Amino acid sequence: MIPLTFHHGWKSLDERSRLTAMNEFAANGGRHLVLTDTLLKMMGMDYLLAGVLREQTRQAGVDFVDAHAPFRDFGDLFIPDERDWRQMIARQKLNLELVSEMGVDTCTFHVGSTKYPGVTVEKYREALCRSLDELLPLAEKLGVTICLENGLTPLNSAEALVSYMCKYDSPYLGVCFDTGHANVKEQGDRIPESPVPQVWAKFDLPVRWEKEMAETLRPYIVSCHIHDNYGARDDHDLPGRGNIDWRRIVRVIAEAPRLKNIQSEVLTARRGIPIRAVCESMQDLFGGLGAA
Amino acid sequence: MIPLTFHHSWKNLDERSRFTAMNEFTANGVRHLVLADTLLKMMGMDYLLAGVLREQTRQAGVDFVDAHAPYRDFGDLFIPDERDWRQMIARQKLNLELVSEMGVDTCTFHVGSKYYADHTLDQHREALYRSLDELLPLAEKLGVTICLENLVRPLSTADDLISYMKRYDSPHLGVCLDVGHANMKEKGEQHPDCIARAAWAVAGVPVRWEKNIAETLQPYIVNCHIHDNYGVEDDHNLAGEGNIDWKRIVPILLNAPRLRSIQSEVLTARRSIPIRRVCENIRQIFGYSPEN
Repeated sequence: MIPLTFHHGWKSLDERSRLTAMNEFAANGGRHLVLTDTLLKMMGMDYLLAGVLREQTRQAGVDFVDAHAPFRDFGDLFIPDERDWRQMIARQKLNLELVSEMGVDTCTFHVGSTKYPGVTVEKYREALCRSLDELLPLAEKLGVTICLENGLTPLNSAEALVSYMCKYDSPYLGVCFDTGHANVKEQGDRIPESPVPQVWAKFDLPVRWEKEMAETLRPYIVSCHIHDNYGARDDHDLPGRGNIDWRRIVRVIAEAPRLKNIQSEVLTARRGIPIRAVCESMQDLFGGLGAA
Repeated sequence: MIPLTFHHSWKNLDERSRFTAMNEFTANGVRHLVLADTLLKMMGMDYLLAGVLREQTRQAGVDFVDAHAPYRDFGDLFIPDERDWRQMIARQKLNLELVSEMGVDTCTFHVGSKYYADHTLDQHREALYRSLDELLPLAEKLGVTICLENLVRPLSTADDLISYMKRYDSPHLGVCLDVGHANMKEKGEQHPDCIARAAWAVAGVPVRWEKNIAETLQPYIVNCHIHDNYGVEDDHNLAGEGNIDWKRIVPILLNAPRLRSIQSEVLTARRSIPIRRVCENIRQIFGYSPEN
């Protein structure tokens, strides 16, 4: 049975409120949580938090199944600056250790979004490959699969992700298919206010619009981010509060041969969405697949 | 002139209060601060804090000169448990990168204080060697000297530290002489309540009391922790609020051939000691201004 996992906004919760939120997921049938980038950052400061989280999840009857590495500054894998790259690699190696320590076996990484002035796509790609050269052996040793997430830039298009998968051809490298990002990318050519052309302009490139990204990436999908939007912005809203064709997406995900988990990335805290609504929405979408 | 540097308790200060405290040091003639373990832990969570600290120190007219790595859980270098060791090494490698990023070239580490009951002292020592084997090449690459601190525990005596210095014989490995710890180790034999007794009892061995620790370690001292006590507890008092013979200690330090900084480790927040008093105190003991 494919686990359904749930992202949550843990950042502003104190220890007691965190346990309450875990209990809330359990009360609504949520059994699996995402070890989020926020939790990993908190573990970066609080050396004992791993033990606290283990105890809290045990008490609440939930567990962590997948993880999301910190991203943007000192988190993006494509950082071309040598000093920043070194700091990022040290941070991400620690994050992989913590992911493994928490018993989690997939971790999603962003290829990158922070722009360094004057750097070509080719340089970014070299930096990304250098990062993967460093991180993949550790991931293999720890039994963690690194999942690269599709985004809106030339470096994390479906085409680009497939090229990385082909280059490394490793069971410890896969794709985290983000349904919301794919929708923005697929519909952007019809939406004047789409953010995609601006993103590609930063790389001095015209947009290469994509269609059927889920189908293209299907052989490599290990994890996925489930959320909805109307194609104009990355809303991270509940499925159904957008125009994603969920019947198509669910079918593709159900047939992904390497799929290990299905993750809700509805941003509950940002949008004031109750945990109950998220759990019910995910069950409605994926319960038919036997996912739970 | 050897720089005088100042420890401060940054943990409970928000950004504005941190800046105010930096200005408080400047107003008292201080130019150099310690990149404390607390700050390194905060940088572990806040990926952008390094930049903020650089800007705040620039505005306040101070800089970071020496550093103290996080210690105890997942910080001690002698951790014999494989999983915990891996996490510790990943954390300390990141800390070394951050130390270097902040322009600091010495970093004090604890050999360790939390013994693993199912491992022997020899196994702890082997784990320490394994840690130094991993960390020293990185320290060398970054131009940072790892300073091992004398503690009141087994494996951190003056004899132990000298054996490590001889084993590695590296310019990137030195000693941080903690004068308060040395005082307890030298005078504790006369005090039934000295905390060294309990510290050695935990490790299951009788205390090895020591004499002339500063003299013994002098050739290897790269930095030092200045604070006072009465030989019983690790008070971290102002110099003079204890029974350390400063007339003996000061010349040993000032004549230590590898000495790079003199660090006040008076715990201002724990004992509510005003910054002004710490600055005046160290000026009085060392006979020169903290502006150096």
